[in-house]
Formats: sequence, structure tokens, C-alpha cells
Amino acid sequence: MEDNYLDNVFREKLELPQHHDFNESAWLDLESRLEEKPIRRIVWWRWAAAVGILLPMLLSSFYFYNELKQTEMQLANLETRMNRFLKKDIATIVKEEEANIASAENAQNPRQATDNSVTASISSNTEASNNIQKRAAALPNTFYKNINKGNNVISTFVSEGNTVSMNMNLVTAKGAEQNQPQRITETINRSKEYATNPTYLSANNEAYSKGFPIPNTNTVNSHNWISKERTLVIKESAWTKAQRQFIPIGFEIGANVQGGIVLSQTLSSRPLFNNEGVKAAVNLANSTDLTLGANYAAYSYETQNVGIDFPNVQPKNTDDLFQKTTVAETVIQVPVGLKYNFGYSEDVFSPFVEIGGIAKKSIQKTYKYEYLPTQKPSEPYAISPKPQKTKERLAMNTATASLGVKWNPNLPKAPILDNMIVQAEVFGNADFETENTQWMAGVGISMSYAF
Amino acid sequence: MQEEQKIEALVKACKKGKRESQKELYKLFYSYGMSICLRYSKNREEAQEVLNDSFIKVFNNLDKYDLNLSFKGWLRRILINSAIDYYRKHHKHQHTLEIVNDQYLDDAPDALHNLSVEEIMNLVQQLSPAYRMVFNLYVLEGYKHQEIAEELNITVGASKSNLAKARMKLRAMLEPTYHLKYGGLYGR
Repeated sequence: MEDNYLDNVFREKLELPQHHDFNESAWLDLESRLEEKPIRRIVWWRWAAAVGILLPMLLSSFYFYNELKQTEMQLANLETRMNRFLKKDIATIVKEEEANIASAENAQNPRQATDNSVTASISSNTEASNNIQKRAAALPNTFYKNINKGNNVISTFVSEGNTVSMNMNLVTAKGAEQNQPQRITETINRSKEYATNPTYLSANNEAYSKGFPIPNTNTVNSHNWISKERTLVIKESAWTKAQRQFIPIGFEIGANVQGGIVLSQTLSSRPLFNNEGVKAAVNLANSTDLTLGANYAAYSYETQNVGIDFPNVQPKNTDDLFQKTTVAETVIQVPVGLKYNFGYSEDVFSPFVEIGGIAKKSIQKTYKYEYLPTQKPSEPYAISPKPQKTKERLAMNTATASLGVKWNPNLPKAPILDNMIVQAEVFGNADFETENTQWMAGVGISMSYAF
Repeated sequence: MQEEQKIEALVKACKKGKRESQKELYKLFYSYGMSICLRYSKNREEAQEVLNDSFIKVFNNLDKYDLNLSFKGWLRRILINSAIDYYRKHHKHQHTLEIVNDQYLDDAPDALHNLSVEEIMNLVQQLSPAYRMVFNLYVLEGYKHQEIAEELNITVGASKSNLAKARMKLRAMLEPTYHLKYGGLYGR
């Protein structure tokens, strides 16, 4: 009997329609199986791995919670102290300013004030007037531009930094053209700013004018910083910049717990920026995940621009030359997102799209000011004041979108690979915190393991 | 057309977890499912177990089923995969089993054609699980030896060997003197 003959007969016969009476007991058995919850075998190493991943996440969460609580307490304390200070001194400051303005007007004709007259004015007035004139002259246009630039940088990374900029709404040169000289008009407006902006208060000291050269007052022509240039040149190589902008180096590792909940820990590091946090993803409906996370981010930048994050420290010697400021900031981020997965979990490759937002809250800023001694230029030194706690609310002002693909090796013969999912994505962030929307793009790689 | 619409409605209801619809879908494909599962099983109980394993997968994965495709085809794929899973779980190391039975003696060498579907099915069921699985996948499902080897985690050579042995056993069972030659040898 030929093989083909045998095969064909069996194929033909077995493919013929057959009738099998429905067996009710078979259905009852299936029904009972459908109603019982799936029983999973306990595999010790899986549980060990789960504990190994989840425990650090739990500890991290606890740490973040305490950090937030502590920060809130410190902020409340700071606010109380600041309010007390403001109530006590602002009235005095305003009175002084008004007296000084009157004194300055008597001392010279303000309509004829020129660049050269500034120095003369400073030296011929009273001590109080002298300080105000110095401040007025020492706050050049670049100051506002640079503050703004600094904000831009912060926005680029973590959308933070409006503490200073949002409070600044100084009159423009056009507005100062009325009956008073430009310089004095600014002084008046700044004196009002002192009442609302604590940062100004911190700068209100002699060291400020000592730490910077007093520029030509002709540079004071416009303070409408919002419409002005907003780019900051950070000292870094092109490669570093590329890394910072487009190549976050980090990872996300997570555990896919029963019920479609993925818990993961994220860590990323790139030049000037470090980020770590926890994230949970819950399967809301078919193919749709809701993600919620908490990140603790730290970033830093440095600048040589005078004015940005201006120092409220006194150099060792009055003539020492300011070199640069290094600013380090810590931020809490709360990313949320909705992810839609195309394809099925068994697919080797399944693409996805995700949209969401990032809420942020700045916690603390640390400044380091570097000076070059006039006497010994070869021995630069740095001054690091006490870190400043940032008073800012958690705000959602960054939109995110990402497009990526999940890779599931799907190899039943190798359980470790079979349960592992690697995800690669490209993402873009749009930051709406400032008037000019800031954009950022990058790539990310993450991995999760299903238990 | 009406049956397709009925199946589609049942599938949609099953996706929502409606038990009555699940039962109706199960009932509708019970006969079809059993006819496939019986080929891969040694008896009716085992076939029923494989069938229920398959329907568990069906109900848990209905959201992945594309309504534009044939439900029957999708179900058939799941039935065969479940049979393979069952084999892996229960029979993987049972390569040699007795296959003696004198029930199918026939006087004519080509009496194969005269056998009923049930009798053919019984012959297949009497093969050892390893032979039966390879024979079914190769002859009835059209798998290549390479594919069978991957599915069953065996070598291509083992797949070919099992198929050859399965055919040999089937031929032997169809020979008139089969029970005399092998009945005593295997000590039944």
C-alpha cells in the first residue's frame, strides 16, 4: 500500500462531516473552568525577581513622599518668614525709594541725564540714593534678557523657572518716557517689584553692585522681555548638546503583575540631566493603558551671562571679576499618559502611540558663583550660598507624545525571553509654560518582564 | 450568510462575557471541535478535555479575533494548538505504546476504503500519541516536517521516523493476520 494512497484515504475519511451529540456535562465542566480564577504556579525565582524590583520602587516612593512632605513644610516656613519680613520692611523700603527719587531730582536735572552723569550722580548723592542709583544702573537690559534665557533653558528640560520671570512685568522704555527720566522711572517700578518679588529682595544689597561692573545706562532701552530673544548659550560641545537633546541614556525596568498592571522604575541620565522615578501602567480597556508616574529630576546648567540667576553673594574683593554661574535644580515630575497598543500581546512586534502630559514642581535651586580675583587671576574661587527652596505649585504645562514599538521575543522554549518585552520609542515634548512653546525630542528604551 | 451573522453576534456577546452566548457558541461548534479533537486523542474523554482547553482559549482571546475572518478557521487553529499543548503536557515522553487491537481485521488488503469514518478514527486513535500527532499534523493539517519538529520540539529526523512508523502501524492494523503476529508479542 503506497504512502500516498494511505494518506489520501485517511484525509478524505477524516475530513468528512461528523456528528457528535452535544454533551451537557462537557459544557458544565467548561463553565466551571471559566468561572474559576486562573491558578498560577508559584515559581520562587519569579517572586524573588518581583520583590527585587518592587522593593526599591516602594522605598523610592517612600523617599519621594517624605521629600515632598519635608519640602512643603520648609516652603510653608519660608513663606511665613518672608511674609513677616515683607510686612515689616516694604513700607520702609518704598518710603526710602521715594525720598531718594526726590533727592536725586533735586541734585540734578533728570531730563539731561546722560551716560556719564550716572557716575557723578552716584558720587554726589546721599548714601541711600547712591545705592538705588547703582542698582538702577546695574540692572541692564541684559539682566532681563538673561533671566528670560535662563527660564528658557529650564523650560527646555523640565518646564520650570517661572518663579522669577512670571513676576517680572516692568515698564518698557516707551512707558518711561513720560515726565520722569528713564532711570528714575525704573527705580520706582522696581521699588514696587520689591514688594512682590522675593528674588529682588535677596538682591537688594551692596554685594550686588560690587559683584558686577556698572554698565552704561544707554543699554537700558527696553524691558519688555517677553518679546525679546530667548536663547541661552550654554557652555557645552555639540556632541554633549546632541546627547542632552536627543539621546537620553537610561532605562526603565518593570514588572507586569497579574491584572494588567505594570510597575516600573525609570532611570535616565544625560549631560546636565538626571531623572529617576516610578511608574504604573494600568490596562483600562482593550489595548489601552493608563500610565501614571512620579519622577525626581535633577538638572544643571552654567552660564557666563551676567544677570542670570544673579548672585546675592559678596565676592572676596570688590574688584574680583565674575566668571560664571552654575545652577542646579531639583524637580518633581508627575507624568500621565494614555497608550494605545496596536496588535496583540502575542505579536513579536506591536506598535503603539501614547499621548499625555507632565505636571511639574520645582523644589530647590542651588547656585555656585565663580570669580576671578583681580590680584591673583590664577586662583579662581567659587561661592556657593545655601540652596534656595523654590515656591511653586505643581502645574501641568507640558504635553507629550510618543510613537514606538514593543518587541516580544515570544519564544516558548526560552521562558525568560518569552516573558520579556522590550520597548523602543521616539517622543516629543511641547512645553507651554512660556510664551514661546519649547520643543524637545528624544528616544527611549525600556524593558518589562511579565510575571 | 445568516450563520455568519449569527456567529458574529454570538462572538460580540461572548466578548462581553455573556454566559448564555458562550454556551450557544460552544454548542454550535461542539461537533466540529470534537471531530478534530478526536483525531488527536486516544478516547472521547481526552478529546473533550482538549476541546474545553480550546474553548477556554477562545473565550479568553476573543478580542483578538478578527470578525472579517472565518471563525471556524480560527477555532481550528486553536484546536490543533491545544492538541499540541496537551500532547506536550501529557504524552511527550511516551513514544512507544502498544497498538494492538484485533477489531479491524479485514479480509481484503484494500478494505481501507470500506471502513467507516468512525473506524478510521479508531485506527488513528490507537496509534501512540507521538505517532498520532505527527501523522495528523503531516497528513491532515499539511505541516512540513520542519514545522512539526518546531512545534513538538523534536528533530526533523524524529518527525520523519514517527510518520513512517505511524504508517507502518496503520498498515499492520489493516492486515488480516495482524492480531496473530502482534497480539501475543505485546502480551495483551
